[in-house]
Amino acid sequence: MAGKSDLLQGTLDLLILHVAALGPVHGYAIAQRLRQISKTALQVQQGSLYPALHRLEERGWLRSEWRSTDTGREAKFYTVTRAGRKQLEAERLNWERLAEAIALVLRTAE
Amino acid sequence: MRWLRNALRRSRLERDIGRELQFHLDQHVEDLVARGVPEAEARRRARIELGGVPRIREEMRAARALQWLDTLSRDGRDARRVLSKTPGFSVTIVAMLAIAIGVAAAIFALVDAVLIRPLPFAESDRLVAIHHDASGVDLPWHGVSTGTYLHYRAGNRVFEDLGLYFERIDTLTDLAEPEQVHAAFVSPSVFSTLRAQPFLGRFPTNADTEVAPSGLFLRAAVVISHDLWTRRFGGSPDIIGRPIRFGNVPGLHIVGVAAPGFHFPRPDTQVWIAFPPEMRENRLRASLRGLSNNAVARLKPGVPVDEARADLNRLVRSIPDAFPDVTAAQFDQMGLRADATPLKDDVVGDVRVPLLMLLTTAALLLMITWANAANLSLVRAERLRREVAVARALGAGTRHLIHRFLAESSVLAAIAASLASIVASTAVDLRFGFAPTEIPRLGEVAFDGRVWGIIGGLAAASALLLALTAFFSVNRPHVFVALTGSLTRIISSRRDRAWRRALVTAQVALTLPLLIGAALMAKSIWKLSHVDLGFDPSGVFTFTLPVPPARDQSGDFYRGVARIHASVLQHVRALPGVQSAEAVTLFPLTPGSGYDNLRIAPSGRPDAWTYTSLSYATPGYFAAMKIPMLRGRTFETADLNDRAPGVIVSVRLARTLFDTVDAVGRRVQWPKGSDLRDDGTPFAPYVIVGVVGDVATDTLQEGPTPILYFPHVYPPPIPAVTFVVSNYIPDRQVYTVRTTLPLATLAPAVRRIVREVDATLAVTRFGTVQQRVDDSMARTRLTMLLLIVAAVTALFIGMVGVHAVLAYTSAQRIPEFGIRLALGADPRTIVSMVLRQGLAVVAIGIVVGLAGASGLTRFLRGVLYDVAPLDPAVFAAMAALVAAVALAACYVPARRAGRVDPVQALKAE
Repeated sequence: MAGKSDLLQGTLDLLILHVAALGPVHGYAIAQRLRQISKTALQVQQGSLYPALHRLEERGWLRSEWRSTDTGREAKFYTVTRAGRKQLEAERLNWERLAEAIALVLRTAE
Repeated sequence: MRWLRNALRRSRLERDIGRELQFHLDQHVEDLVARGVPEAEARRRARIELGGVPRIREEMRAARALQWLDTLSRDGRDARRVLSKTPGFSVTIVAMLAIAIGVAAAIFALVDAVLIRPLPFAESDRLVAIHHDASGVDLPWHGVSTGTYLHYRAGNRVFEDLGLYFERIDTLTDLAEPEQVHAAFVSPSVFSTLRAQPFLGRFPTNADTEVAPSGLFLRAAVVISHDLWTRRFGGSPDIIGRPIRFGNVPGLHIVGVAAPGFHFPRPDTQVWIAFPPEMRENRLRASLRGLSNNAVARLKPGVPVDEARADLNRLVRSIPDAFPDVTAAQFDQMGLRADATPLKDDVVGDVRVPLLMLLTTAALLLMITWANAANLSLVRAERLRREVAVARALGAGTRHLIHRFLAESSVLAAIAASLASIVASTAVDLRFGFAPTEIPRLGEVAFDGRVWGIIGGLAAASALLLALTAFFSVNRPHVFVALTGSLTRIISSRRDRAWRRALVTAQVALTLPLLIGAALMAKSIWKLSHVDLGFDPSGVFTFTLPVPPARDQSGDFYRGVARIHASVLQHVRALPGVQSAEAVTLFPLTPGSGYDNLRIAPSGRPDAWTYTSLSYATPGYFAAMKIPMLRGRTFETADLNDRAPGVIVSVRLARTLFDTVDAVGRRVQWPKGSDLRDDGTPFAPYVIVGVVGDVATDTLQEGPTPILYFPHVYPPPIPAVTFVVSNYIPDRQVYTVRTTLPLATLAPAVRRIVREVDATLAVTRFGTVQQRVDDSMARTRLTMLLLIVAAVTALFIGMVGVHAVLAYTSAQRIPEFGIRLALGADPRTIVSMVLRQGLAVVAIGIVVGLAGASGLTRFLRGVLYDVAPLDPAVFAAMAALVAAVALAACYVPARRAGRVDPVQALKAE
């Protein structure tokens, strides 16, 4: 699972954190939201979502809680911790720098 | 049990994962259905979109491999969670640590207060005590005399101030209930030397004392302790000026109350009576054979003790010139030297060894506990190794791991610390069961910041130890072994086994010195309790009857005392059930009674005098106490003649004076200088009529002193050698009553008799003689008990460790045993193999322990009685005990190893 999804793993984490930062949210809702925001451009593999959520919780960036939804079902809701917010900021900065660098390279390569 | 817990944990995780994924599917289906997709189709699509559930579950599980670590932090270090995970381990560790840390902290508090902290006087490091030593003669006392004190006071260049004092125990009469107190006769400069401040009133000055030409007190000022003031005088402010009676000393009145923390020279000194040394008639004499007072001095700022010593010895050299009673020849022969030692050493002197012994015991106990805790921690950490290996493969950092281990062990250590503080504070509150007389400065022991610091420090060290041992055990490159999964058991590396064996060896090696120390003390106690007392304590009650002096010192007082005692004796003898009643002034095993010493010489050789204790006894006393009459007879009526009473001597005195037991018929006399009566007529020599066996005067350990017994004759034929009217008047007598009556009947009857004879009198210290004997051994016994408790605890902990380690390692080797057995090995060889393994470790521990013990026990020399520190019998016995207990501990695992079913063992692979 290493090489190929390294970059993907990092970006997925970033996206999850970003969505969860807006408020307590369960896994399904995150998947929905990501699809929504990116105007379906990002099709997150649902299968990678949950392991990612658990990994983020392990690292201490997310906190989870079993709650009932408004429809009455029991779902696991995730919130971002303070450490998670810091990580989110750091990752966002990294991403922006990376995007800039790539753009620069592409421009000058012409 | 372990598998059950893991199984529960895993099933919870599985359920969790399942629910979450199920919710996702259901939610997706709902949405699709809401958009018009038929249910069956919706379910299919949802499932496809999610992907392979088993794989997802596995990935989620992998992400959760660190769950056991996470539960901790997520639940906010809830202590209950930690304990409930492995309750056996947790409770054991907490209990062991609580006891070891509590005991260590308590003993530290004691040692801190007594040995480490400075005395509670201003700038107490400048206070010294002055002693003497003489290489040429055997000095019975090492203090100062009035003459030498004044000589040093006048001529020194190094002291800011000096004070002179000596101690007495006597009764404070004319209180509602007479009370025996420790008192100190002090020069007023003692208070200024100590820089003490009175609590109420003032300290005495020279002007407060009036002394008659004969040396008797007419008027003197007294300071009482704060404790005495609140306890017996109700803390009332009109205590100042109140007259008080201490023993025979007349004319005393209270001028001040000392501050609550003021204890000098002993913790239980209650009364200070001021006398100006300049007024003592013997200021003109050096009295070098009577250096029986104490002197305290304050060094000038910046003056080291060595300089003070040198200055004092300079003054010593001028003694023959300054005093008429010392010739140069005598002086040179004596080789007199003066010494100044820090006052603290004087105060704490003889408890230093027992206290340091206690401290060592606590340290040993702590180390044994730590060794055992480390062992348990190692064993426990091994069980987690697989999960940790997985976690590390997935990237869990080292810091992360240590952090989690530390969190867990900190919880345990914190609980242990709070329990330990309860243990320690209880011990401090109970003053360890010591009486103030046994341990100086006991009142200063407190559960303060330093003790908390010790507890905190030890707890932190314990937490660190547990966490690090767990981490190092787990931090091994065995990942490949763990993850292949085909070995369900993790085999310990050889290094681990070596560590565990080393820990067990250490525990055994540390336990053995404790056991040996305890056994040596026990042997001492046993010897002490079988010492020949010289009398028979069984069936005899005693009580003390002090008779306070009348205001005037005429001969009538003496007769009055005689009449009172004779009357009481007569009535007590007449009580039904009383077989005999006798009276004596110097009762055996009375601590502090060695204070009074007279000099007595063989008749015709007044220079060959020796010191002796003095006692008055009724004729039947020796028979009543079953003190053997070795030669001659007891007193008879003819001896009760105040001009020339017959006397009885103890064996030791006879031997010292005459070099033989057969002293009957010989005579003794007072030496020159004290052989004249008040009216100037000389005392006639006394005839020895009997020689009795020795009895211990002060304590059992010190043994017997020479005693000179007089019959009750009045006036007492003793020269007024001290300015305090005689401690040699038989006014305070100890009665011995042999009776079949129980104490509850005897005591009220005696009290009634005394009240009828004289209503102002009261009886004190009613009890059995056996009690006095027991009290004599009390302190040694207590130290021994503490040692025994520590040793037994250590033995138990150590053996639990041996058992656990052996059980675990042999359990690990079950596959190996299975193979051996399947190949035809005899089960007994398996058993012996396991036993040998265990006992080898213990044997090394025993050898190291014996070596350590032989180095340590020499420090017990001061407390042991008639037992050698390297007693081979004790060493051998304790080594055998440890070996036997170890054998028992190894037995069960060894047998289990032999019973292994080879088929099962191989199947478990």
